[in-house]
Amino acid sequence: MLFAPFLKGLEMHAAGAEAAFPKRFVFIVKASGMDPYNLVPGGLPNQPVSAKPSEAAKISHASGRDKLVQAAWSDHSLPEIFKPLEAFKDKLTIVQGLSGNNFKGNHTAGYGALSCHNSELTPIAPTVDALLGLKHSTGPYPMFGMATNGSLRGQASVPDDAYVFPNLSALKAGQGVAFQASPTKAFNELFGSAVMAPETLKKELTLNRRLMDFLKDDAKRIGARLTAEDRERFDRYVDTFDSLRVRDERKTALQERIERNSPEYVVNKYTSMQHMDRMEAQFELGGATLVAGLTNVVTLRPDTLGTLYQDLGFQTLGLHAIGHGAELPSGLNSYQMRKKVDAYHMGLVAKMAQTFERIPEGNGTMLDNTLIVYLSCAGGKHHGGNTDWPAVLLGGCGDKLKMGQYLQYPSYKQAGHKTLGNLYLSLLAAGGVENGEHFGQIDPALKDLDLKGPLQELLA
Amino acid sequence: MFHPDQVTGKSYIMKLNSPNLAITILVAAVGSLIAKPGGGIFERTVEPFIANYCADCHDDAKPKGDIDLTALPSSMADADSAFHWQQMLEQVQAGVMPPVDKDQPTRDERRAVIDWIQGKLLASPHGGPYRAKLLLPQYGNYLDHEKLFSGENVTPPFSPSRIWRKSPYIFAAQRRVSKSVRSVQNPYSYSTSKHGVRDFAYTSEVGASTVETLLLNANAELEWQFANARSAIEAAKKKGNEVHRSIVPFVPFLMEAKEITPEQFEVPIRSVFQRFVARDPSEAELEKYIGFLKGNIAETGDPEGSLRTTLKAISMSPETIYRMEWGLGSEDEHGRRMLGSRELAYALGYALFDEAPHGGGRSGAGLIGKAEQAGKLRTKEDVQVVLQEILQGESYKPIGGQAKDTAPRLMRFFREFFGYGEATEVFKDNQRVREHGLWHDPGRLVKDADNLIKVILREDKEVFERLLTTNEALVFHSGDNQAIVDAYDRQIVDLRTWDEERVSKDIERRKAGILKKPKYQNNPKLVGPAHARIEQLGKNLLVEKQKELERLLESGPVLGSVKGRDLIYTRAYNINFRKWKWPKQQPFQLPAEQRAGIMSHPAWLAAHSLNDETDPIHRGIWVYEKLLAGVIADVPPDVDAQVPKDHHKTLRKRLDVVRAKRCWACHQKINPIGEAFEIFDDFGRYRTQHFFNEEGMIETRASVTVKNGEDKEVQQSFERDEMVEAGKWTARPVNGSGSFDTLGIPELEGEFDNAIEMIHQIAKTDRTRQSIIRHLFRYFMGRNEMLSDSKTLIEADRAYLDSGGSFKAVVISLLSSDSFLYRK
Repeated sequence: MLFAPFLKGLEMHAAGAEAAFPKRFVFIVKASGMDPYNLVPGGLPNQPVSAKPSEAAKISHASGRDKLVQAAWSDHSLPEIFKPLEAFKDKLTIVQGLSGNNFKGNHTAGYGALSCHNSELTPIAPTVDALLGLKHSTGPYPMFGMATNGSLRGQASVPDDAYVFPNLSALKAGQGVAFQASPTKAFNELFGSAVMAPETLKKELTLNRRLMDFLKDDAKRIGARLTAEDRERFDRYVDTFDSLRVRDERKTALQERIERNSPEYVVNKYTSMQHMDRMEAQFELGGATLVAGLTNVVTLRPDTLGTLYQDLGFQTLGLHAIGHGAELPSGLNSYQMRKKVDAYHMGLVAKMAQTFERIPEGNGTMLDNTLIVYLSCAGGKHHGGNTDWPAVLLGGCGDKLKMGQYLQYPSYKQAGHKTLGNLYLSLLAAGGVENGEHFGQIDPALKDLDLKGPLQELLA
Repeated sequence: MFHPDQVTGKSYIMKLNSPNLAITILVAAVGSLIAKPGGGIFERTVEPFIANYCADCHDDAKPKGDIDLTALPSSMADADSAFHWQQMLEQVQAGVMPPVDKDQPTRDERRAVIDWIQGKLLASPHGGPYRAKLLLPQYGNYLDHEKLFSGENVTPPFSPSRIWRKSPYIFAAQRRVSKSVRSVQNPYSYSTSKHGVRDFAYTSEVGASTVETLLLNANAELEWQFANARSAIEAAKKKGNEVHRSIVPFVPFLMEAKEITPEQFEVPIRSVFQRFVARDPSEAELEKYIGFLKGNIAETGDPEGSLRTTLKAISMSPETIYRMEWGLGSEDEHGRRMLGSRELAYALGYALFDEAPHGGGRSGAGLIGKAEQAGKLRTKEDVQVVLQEILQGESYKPIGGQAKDTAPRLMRFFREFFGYGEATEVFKDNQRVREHGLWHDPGRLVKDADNLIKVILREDKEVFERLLTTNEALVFHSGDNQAIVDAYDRQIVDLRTWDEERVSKDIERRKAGILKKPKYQNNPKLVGPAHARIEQLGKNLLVEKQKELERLLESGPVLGSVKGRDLIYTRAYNINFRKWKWPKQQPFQLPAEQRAGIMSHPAWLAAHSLNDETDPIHRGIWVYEKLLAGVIADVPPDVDAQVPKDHHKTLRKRLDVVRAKRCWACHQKINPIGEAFEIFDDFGRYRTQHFFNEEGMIETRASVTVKNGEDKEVQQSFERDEMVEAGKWTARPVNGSGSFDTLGIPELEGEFDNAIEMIHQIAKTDRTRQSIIRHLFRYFMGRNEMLSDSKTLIEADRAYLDSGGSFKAVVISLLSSDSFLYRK
């Protein structure tokens, strides 16, 4: 049952194809920023770890941050929130100190977070996840996105239940990616064919095919009346029906893998209106989607500013309130609550990593060829955190990335400082996607620094 | 550098590099002196032109750029030669060729050649690429201005038959199936440049993303509708009631009816068609969709899924996505067909309101629908009558007022044309803003500009001149003085009614409202704290209302509550907000030597600036292309258009690099105008001096950011004036002077001291007024003008002049013109 990828791996080896396993990526973009001081390993010189919140700020803004820090996990203990990832620490890399200060928005960089362009609400450039997906996906979707809510600031404490546009990913300028907010609908769309009665599946496919054929045919009567110039453009409209049909066909071709890897549809979890249940469902579906080959890139938006982490003990406060320093009567303060949220996410990440680890691939596992990238759309703070933007990488990109280390770059404007764009260039390089010396727009305030190319410390 | 109008003896004295050349020229010169009677235009104008001005470099001996112009056949019989003619045309038209240091043809000579080549290319079977280029918004000016307005072309105007993808605005104006369906996304976006007319029929695309979004939308809406219908049917069954009439169409398909009658097939199709296409389906269309629906049921045995699929097909059909303008009237003697009455109603509705016409209400789109239904939308006169009625009712409600513009497309023209809305997109670093001693609020500046334009439009006199030259301003004020007074009176009346009873009613109402929200229904624990908050607020409410009443009685009519903080942004107008008394009645006047019209408005200046500097180049291009209908060649691909950095020089001095021979051909049209705007900084503030610090470096900041003793960032002033007095710094006056002489525009010559003078001069010319009308034409027609539109443009120009500068008159003229009404 699990031999298929393994066998493929053997075939590849036998054929002399070197490390030709599919590359996959999971991007997890959380709201409200990720506090850098929760990511500092134990035992780094001059970096007290368990400090009081008021001193915690000094860790990430220490004036002595003019040197690059590069540390291996063999010499240091994992920060507390990463305890669930202890078993994977040689595949874990934490990158701190990057900036993305030239793309901003209201509590989020929006499309800027993954495209490095200053345009929160309108997609004006492809995002890094889409670029990787367009390169690698052979399934029906170049990438697949799931969110709990679309609008960040809608203060929505109730999850959405349909396709939403969280303004995170874009295939190209003007083409933002819709994220599915309903686990049930996502399940039906991705794995529905596994649980659908064959007659129902057949009916759906038939109706879709007939729809595309009808539209294509119907368009002919217009096409005949057009001038040559108009006709050329009109044909592009007509051609899209074919591409939609191709998607259905690709999905059908994966039928067997879909059936084999479909997650269990647990009604209570998938239809729950509590955010944390939905997050779990999302992670589950995301992992299964990659395993089934429906896509090679999944992007998750686990929370927005209205999300209520009820089961973590602070059910009356949404992320926005917490981000602004709210405190519970019990004495639990906002720093501690934010830390708990991140720790919870790491638990979800660990579960996903375990899913991949269970699948042998080549000399290792699927996790060696799947890179999980975890960061926030708001940088290192609830807002205003664009000069210190942490990112967590777990897994691997074949042998292209150096995993198992802690990297902290010199602070904003210091010599040696690097940006989020450099991180994305590293991912693109590892993923074999051609790109120039810069990704996205360049921060004019850093014009005296050398910001070309990928992060050398990350590339193997 | 030669003035194009100069004809000097030098024209005939060429560098005699080769004897062949000399002979060629002499022959040509002699040839032109001996006019060949009956010789064609080519022989009389083009050949001599090439011989005199081009052959030096572009002959068979040493064809520069690989072009031998002497060998080009006049017939344009093949793609290659047509392409070379096109290259020559574009270079000559843009003034790039002949190079500035060579002899220049006269204006008439240049125009004659441009005319000939353009005419030939447009008619040639190999002129496809050129014709396609002329369809793009950025090349609209390539059609010669003087030829368009000379009256020599009397072709009956028309627009080509076409389909025109709907705009994002049209989509937004469409009815939604329910507010509960929140995931509906706008499928349409513009691919045109932000700096020109955006909605062009020729450039609008429908691609994969559009269709996928339409599909997502259709799925979302249909899902809601069907789920809603299903639960309504079940509820009705339980209660033994009839379902609501809006649900009836779904019943046969959801209830697995044994047989579905023809009428039952029709009803849902008709209703969805009406929603998306804004009209009834024709018999043929009904038949088509019913056929599709029946076929779906036959193949799948699933009435519900089949109906959904059929309705999806309607929501993704060409009629839903495109505006269709075929010209369904009968053909006239010129081969033109007038738009059918229905087509006309759509065209007018979209032109003014982004809306399809409908029969109801007092809205503008409703007036169009009514006229059409009454058969009163058939002739040009009919159209004029309807437009008069609509535009008479347009009051240009100010931003911040309750009502939206009834004809939003009118204001949008000015937003697109002037581009001042872009001020919010130009990133200004916060620290730099602080160091320059102001507070940059582009959103507020844009609103001020919007409201100023509305004041001018409301008065509708000498609209273009006022837009370009007025020194009136609205600052944090809507311009509708009466509305402010009325709102104030209403506020006073309301405040007087607040008492204990009203407060407790308000508290109850809010508490009840909380319980209706899903957020609180799903999380009952949140209700208690929410109610507590409401009661707390209620305790102070009465006191607050009383305080507010006292404050308003003292201040008199004000727009909302204007706090000092609200006015910080006015530094952009060179207003010292701390000492300034905000005028309650506006507009008021800014110094006439500092401000003239939209182009000196901080919103426009900031929009046309770089992140940390002014942008003379793009400001110059803007004026040349938008106000003078000028043609500037595209930047040559091998040019790295970077302004050199040199902190010891002003920007104007640094731009001297464009005075190099190769650059000046184009930059002579751009820089003199653009550099005049140097009397404003990139935030829109008027300035008279440049300051150079002790190291002789230019310093525009008023202060520098330093860290104080507590490691906090504070501003440390440079004490500029003291430094200048002490002789440590130098101040030099800003140079905003320039000359019109290199622009090649006949009406404009001579010099000016600064942008204000320049703007006043430009605003006086016919060319400017006509250039604005050309852009308005493109905006309404969704295409560039053709020579055959000449009559329309001249009439529109006349309408403006005869009405004392009424914008409404121009709009009526254009929308009832042959260009708008006829298709071919």
